[in-house]
Amino acid sequence: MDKRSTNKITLDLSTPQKGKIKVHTKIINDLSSGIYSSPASCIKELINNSYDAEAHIVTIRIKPIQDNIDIIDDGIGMNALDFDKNFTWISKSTKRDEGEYSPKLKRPLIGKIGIGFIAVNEICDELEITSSKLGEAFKFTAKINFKDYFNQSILEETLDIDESQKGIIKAEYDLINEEEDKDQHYTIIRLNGLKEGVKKILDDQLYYNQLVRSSNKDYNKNYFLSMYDLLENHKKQDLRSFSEDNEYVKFIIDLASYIPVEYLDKGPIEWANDKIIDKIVNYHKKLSFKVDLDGIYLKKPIFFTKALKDTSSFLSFDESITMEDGVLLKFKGYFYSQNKILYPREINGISLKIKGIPIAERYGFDTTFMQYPSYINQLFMNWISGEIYIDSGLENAMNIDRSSFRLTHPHYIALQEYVHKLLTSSILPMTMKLYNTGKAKREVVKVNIKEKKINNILKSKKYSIEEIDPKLTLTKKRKRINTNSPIQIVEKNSDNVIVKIDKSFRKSFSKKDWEYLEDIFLIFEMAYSSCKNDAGKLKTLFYQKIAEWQKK
Amino acid sequence: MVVKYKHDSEYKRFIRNQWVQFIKNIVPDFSDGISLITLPSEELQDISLFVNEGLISWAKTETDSYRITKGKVSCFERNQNKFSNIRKKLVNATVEHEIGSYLSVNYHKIMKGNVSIFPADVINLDYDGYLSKNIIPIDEMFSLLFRYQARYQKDFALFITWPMPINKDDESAEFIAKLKKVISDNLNSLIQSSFKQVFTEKHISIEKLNYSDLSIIGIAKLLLNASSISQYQLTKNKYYVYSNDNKRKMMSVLFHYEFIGPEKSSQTLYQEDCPKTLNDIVILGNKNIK
Repeated sequence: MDKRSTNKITLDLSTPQKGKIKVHTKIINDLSSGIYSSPASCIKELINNSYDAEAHIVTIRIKPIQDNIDIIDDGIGMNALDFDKNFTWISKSTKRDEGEYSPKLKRPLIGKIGIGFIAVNEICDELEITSSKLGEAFKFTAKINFKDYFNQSILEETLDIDESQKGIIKAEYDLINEEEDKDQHYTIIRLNGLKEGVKKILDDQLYYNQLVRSSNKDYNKNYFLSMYDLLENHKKQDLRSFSEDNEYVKFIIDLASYIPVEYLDKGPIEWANDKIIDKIVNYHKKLSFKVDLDGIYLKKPIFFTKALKDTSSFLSFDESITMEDGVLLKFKGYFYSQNKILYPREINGISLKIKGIPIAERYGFDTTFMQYPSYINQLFMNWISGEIYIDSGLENAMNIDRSSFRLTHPHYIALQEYVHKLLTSSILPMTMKLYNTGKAKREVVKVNIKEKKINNILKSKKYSIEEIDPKLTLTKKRKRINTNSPIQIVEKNSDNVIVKIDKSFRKSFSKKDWEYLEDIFLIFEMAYSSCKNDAGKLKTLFYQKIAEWQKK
Repeated sequence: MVVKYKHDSEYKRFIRNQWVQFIKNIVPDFSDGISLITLPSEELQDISLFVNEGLISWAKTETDSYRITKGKVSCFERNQNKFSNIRKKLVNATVEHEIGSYLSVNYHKIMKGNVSIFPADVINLDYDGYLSKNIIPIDEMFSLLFRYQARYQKDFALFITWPMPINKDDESAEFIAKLKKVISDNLNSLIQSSFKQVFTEKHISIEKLNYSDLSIIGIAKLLLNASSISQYQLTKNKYYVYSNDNKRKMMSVLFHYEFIGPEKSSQTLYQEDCPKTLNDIVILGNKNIK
């Protein structure tokens, strides 16, 4: 690992020290590209660092909306030397010296080392960190000043460093070590000097005020009780995507999508009684990692309720593929589909996760389903969502930014082939079945509605409707119906009404128009059959029946 | 909610009751809750007390923390561990580190109105440690508090509680000297004749004052200096000395200040507003608690 800090940091107590945080030139592009311009993308890096430090709970305090955010964890902490080693020289490599797993809990390490500390300079002027390492009787506090270096590229000028090790200075810091209880272990990060745009995003009060002003007049909430409450609120607004919702809600959902927290209770599929999905859920529970954001636990924002049980289905899988290079590509997951377009639109896709973290842009889903051909069953593809947890074999296919894959990597291609085959052979047919079942049900409902409507017009105990085949010869047609009448009441008594409809008339109108016209013609014929050739009475009866029909 | 308070004693309970009565007298309508600045300790004792008395409301959250639903709370805690525990426990309260340095460093922000801590209805400085251990001198802190409150012309209650030193140098020599100087200045001031009269009736000299009298009178005088400069008038005051459950002696003072503005404020006002007879200082234990 090409890592070298030029700061001369020590563990001496009560001696003020100074240092600089520098970033390899190659990484500057990432930082400037805007991928860390949102509060969620910055804060998730800090949370993932806490996870790597074996924290069980991370507490984030944003309120009241002022000038700072506090992030407090109960992880193993670090000392000044750890801080200097891991966070003050951000090289291109994000791999760690200490291996791929945390020391005690054996969590797979997920944080992009050091990036979090620099990424936050997009959202604040200063970061203050205090940490006490387990088993050590001191703590350090470092105040990292970004303000003077923001949007500048000040190259390190130290002469005794190889050019390839020189970096752009992104911040300087003041550090001091102090005494602390040996049993204490924590890290407290305070982001100071939040940028105004960030404060607006985090100000949920604006959101609640907006909801009160909107059509939802009886809305009286001014905070969410839980993640479930937040997602329910989002659903109630009938929005099609997370992106249409308020910035504050987007921030929470974006954040929750990218950290290794649990699913909502009984999630992701509420009615699923499935061993593979249970394995995935239990994996997250065993991680024993919680994030408390202003009094609510963040949970994965993926939840398919049992209200959809009758109109949806799912399929789980647990597979392994031995690649040509001997590497075992092992993965498990599920696909879910339902009998209507999936909202929010962001989860209409596939989420590939490595070490539990999605490798994708915002909200964690690849909406192309790993570049599944768009001309195939595009209608049904809008109804599907899937998650795949990669146990092994795909890490090397990730791009260096850890948010996308190399599409030509053989392991990616192998997974892609599996997914596409599964979609074509199983998921789409499963979805088609839902469609057909749904269609049959919709037809029944439609027929029932129609029958009810007609009964309201005919007001008869019994009625029958016969459609005259347009293929009948004209002569036979003329015998059976008046050619000017698309609908004719053939027989009418107190108990029974027989109606004939000319199909050719029906077909000469659009489906939607005919739905109304059929009713109007029927009303007219009913009025006509009661008027005894009295034009005045016909008019009165007709409009009377129209009025009755309108009320229904 | 039944709360077992730390450092509890019959006398501390009395003091807490005095806080509540004081507040209810000066803030008769607390339907929107009070705005409180406090040094709460991890157990959030005074906040719990005010919740029990309906002055503040809070609701427990999913994560076993508390969300203030009525009123406003701003806390200061210099110990890092305790700071983080308080920050975790209170979802939407302002929590900062040491109060003196915060007030000093953020002067411009606060005076511009960019900080929501001020104005406050109640400022409760219940110190565990010694007054001279503040990062900035206590009189400077008083001065800032009054200036910030005056920006809003806000009447408020101020409670200060502090411990008796156990060892001679627990309180710094500079602090003791400052207390003596302010008393001495008042005794030598021509407009403080009534104070001088009652002081000399009770005491031989400043040097002979015990710590509780010295600190109570000295603090009261320092506050009067700061309050008059910021155009405040003291309208109510109470002074107590008591022991808590571990027999540690504590001093507790309660004040109510009204903003009177430049026309009414004058140096002559404060001569009446400090312990004249020193019998104003109630030593709990010597008297029956009412």
